[in-house]
Amino acid sequence: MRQLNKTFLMLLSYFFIFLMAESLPVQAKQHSNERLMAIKAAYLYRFSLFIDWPEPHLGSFLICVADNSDYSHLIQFNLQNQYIKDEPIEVVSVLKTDDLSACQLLYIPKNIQHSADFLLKAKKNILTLGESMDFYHEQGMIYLYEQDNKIRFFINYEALKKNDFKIRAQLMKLSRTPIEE
Amino acid sequence: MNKKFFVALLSLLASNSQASESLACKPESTVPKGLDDIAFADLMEIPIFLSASQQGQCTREAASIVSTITGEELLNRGARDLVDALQLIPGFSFGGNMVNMVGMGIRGITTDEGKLSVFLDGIILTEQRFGITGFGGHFPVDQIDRIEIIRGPGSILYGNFAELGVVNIITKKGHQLKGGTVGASYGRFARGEAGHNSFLTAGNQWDDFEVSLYAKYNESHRSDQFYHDANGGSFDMADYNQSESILGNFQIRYKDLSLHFLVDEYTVNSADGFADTISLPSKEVRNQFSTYALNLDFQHDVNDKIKLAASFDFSRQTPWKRTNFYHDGRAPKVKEQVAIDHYTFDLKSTFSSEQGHYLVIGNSFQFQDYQHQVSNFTGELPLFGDYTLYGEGVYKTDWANVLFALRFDWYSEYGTNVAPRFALTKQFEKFHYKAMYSQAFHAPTGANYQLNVEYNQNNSLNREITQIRPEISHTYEIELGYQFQPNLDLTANIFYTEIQNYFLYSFDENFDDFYDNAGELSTWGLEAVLNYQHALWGKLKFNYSFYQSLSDVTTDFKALDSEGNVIHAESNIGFPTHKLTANHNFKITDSLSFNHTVIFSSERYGYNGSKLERHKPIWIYNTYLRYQNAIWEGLEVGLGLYDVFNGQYQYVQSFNGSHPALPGNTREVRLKLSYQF
Repeated sequence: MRQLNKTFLMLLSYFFIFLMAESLPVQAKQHSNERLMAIKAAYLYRFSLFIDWPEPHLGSFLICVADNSDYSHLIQFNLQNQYIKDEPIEVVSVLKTDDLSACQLLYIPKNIQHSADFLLKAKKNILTLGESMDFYHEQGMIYLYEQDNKIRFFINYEALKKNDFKIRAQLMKLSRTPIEE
Repeated sequence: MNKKFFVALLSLLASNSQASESLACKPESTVPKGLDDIAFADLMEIPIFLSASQQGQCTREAASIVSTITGEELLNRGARDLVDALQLIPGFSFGGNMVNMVGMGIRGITTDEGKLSVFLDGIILTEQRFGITGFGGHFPVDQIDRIEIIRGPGSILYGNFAELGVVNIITKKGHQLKGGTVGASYGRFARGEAGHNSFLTAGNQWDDFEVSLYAKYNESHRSDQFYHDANGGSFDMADYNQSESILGNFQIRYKDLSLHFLVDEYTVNSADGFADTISLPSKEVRNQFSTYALNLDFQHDVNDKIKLAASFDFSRQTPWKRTNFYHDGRAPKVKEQVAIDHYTFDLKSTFSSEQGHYLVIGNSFQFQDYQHQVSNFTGELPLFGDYTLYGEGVYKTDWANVLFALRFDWYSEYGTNVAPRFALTKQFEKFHYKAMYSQAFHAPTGANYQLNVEYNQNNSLNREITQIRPEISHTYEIELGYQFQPNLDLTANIFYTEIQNYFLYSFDENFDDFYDNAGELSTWGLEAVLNYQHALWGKLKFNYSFYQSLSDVTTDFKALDSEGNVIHAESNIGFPTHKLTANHNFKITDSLSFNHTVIFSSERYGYNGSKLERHKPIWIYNTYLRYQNAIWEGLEVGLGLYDVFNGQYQYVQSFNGSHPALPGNTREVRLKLSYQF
């Protein structure tokens, strides 16, 4: 009996150490701005819920990230196990030379100098979100920007309407025009 | 333990000594895991980079056993009041008091007599006279941002009544409202009205200026069943035992300065009486609880490491204003009315470092002035003063956040006390642990003091008793949590709570009442929460709690047989030893959701007069259908069917006061409409 108790205690201790080891950050190195991407991923997801989308056609809801595979991995990590309109979310990185017709949401990060390269390829029914002033001036649909250590957004209602997107009025109330420096 | 294992453990510790946390707070505490729950307005308030003081706040919040209920969860569940909200919290159960009052038990111990603090946006709603919080159609659940609950002692920071738990209701502010909502609901039992309520909330923010308003009116019936006393009397609760609640909450903020007004009027009618005999047919008794409160608060970030906070609170409460309504034609008569003016001045500073260490030092001075406006009390009560000095510090290491806190109280009538708190907590990627010890010091209230003065003046046995001594409690808690997958996590904790010099409301042989210190009362137990989220099937939450009574020196909370022997020693009367709850929220479409809840309570014991009664285990099943943006945007329709199988929960009195169990809600259908503008 004492031997059994000892063995049990050992097994329990090994299990405990295993749990701790699983928890420690010894796997692949995480992006230094993972917190920022977690917040942005939440925005992408929430915007997607507030839009009336056309009927699903691909089996997954495709979020395309312009030319940044690190960001696309982080967004995929944060949105795993989430669905839009019963479609699992898939996040991929795309180049300006790629065919973007399969994308439902196109996210153009701040580092993209010429948003027009992607915006011109984004056909109707692709929701565009971007972060650069260039995107804002190029009439992208939803502009994300940082102000007072928080993320804000501006909704270009005309751009949305032109592309037959409908968005909830509640969200329009929260849209704020950015202050251009 | 063999050598190899020990070496393996040491090398693991050594190799991970350089392990670093990716964030000061785990992602879900700052970017909530429930992405489909978080409102846009809340998402817009999440800071990108945590300042040192924000990191310190994260750490402090982690050093307790905490549950949070979001406003969205309450709306999805169709919660009618705080009872519905808190029923799903592990360790929380509801039991009867007297005169149609319902109170709460935490971990098998009743929180009546000053063991639970309920706040609304930081203003205390627990009545200050006896420290009792009345539940049922009282507290608002509409347009709440979240409810933060400390399951366990919170006295160090929350003061005298936070011995077993703290409930802080946080309403939505102007920047979250940006407009408002108006709504109403109506519910029916099988045999009559269950209740109706209406509410308005509005607010907005303009740069540094923010304003918010919340107002609600509620009328409820406790039940539609018949109440039977211990002597053959009865009445139909469909006609009696109503409650009424009016609440107004107004807040203005300009930069670092905020002003807060609150009005809370809660009225409870009763025909069930104080003990084993109903007050009908001669009269009904109405007890009114009023709180008029003001809070002026200043919070200033000197820099991202130092924060100063100063506040002034004033409240005038008139709890237990008792009016008799006679059925023989006599005019209603106010029998007792006591007003308590409560003043608090608080000054606090927080120092944080980049690494997340922090130190909070604060002091407060408060005093209470009792005014007997209508009363048989002929004496004078002193001014009850309390000076408090408190400090809490956390030092973060790779393997533990070491927290130490100390509270020093000097009470004008009860002397001094030092209460320490000690905790080790840490969060790793998927795993976290907490190990805590807290001491709480609970001083008697002015009403406890007054009752014993009155007893000495009036008792027919010519006895002289001393004032009761403060309670001291010790609580030990250990929590472990593990996230198996991003959508599946489990948290479990064990606890041991011991209260010494327990306050006991007692009667002598001639039924003259007084307060006494009852010796030791202790329980231990286990609580567990399992969260699971499936993208198609929605969110599932399971809670389980268990307690076992260890000691009750006077047996006043025990089930006794006819010879006075303790039976069922593991439980305290009024509260189930096992409680299991399950809640499932399923999104049918983006606008339509279905929510259902199952609550299981194991058997309970209580008294009906002098006779012990067993209340068998009970299952309650509630459902709610929520349709948002119905017909047009902003309109919400909700339909709830509660206690679907008519389990008929009864509020069993949580001490031996001879009062039979009070029937609670039965099967109810409720319709709710609201419009967001």
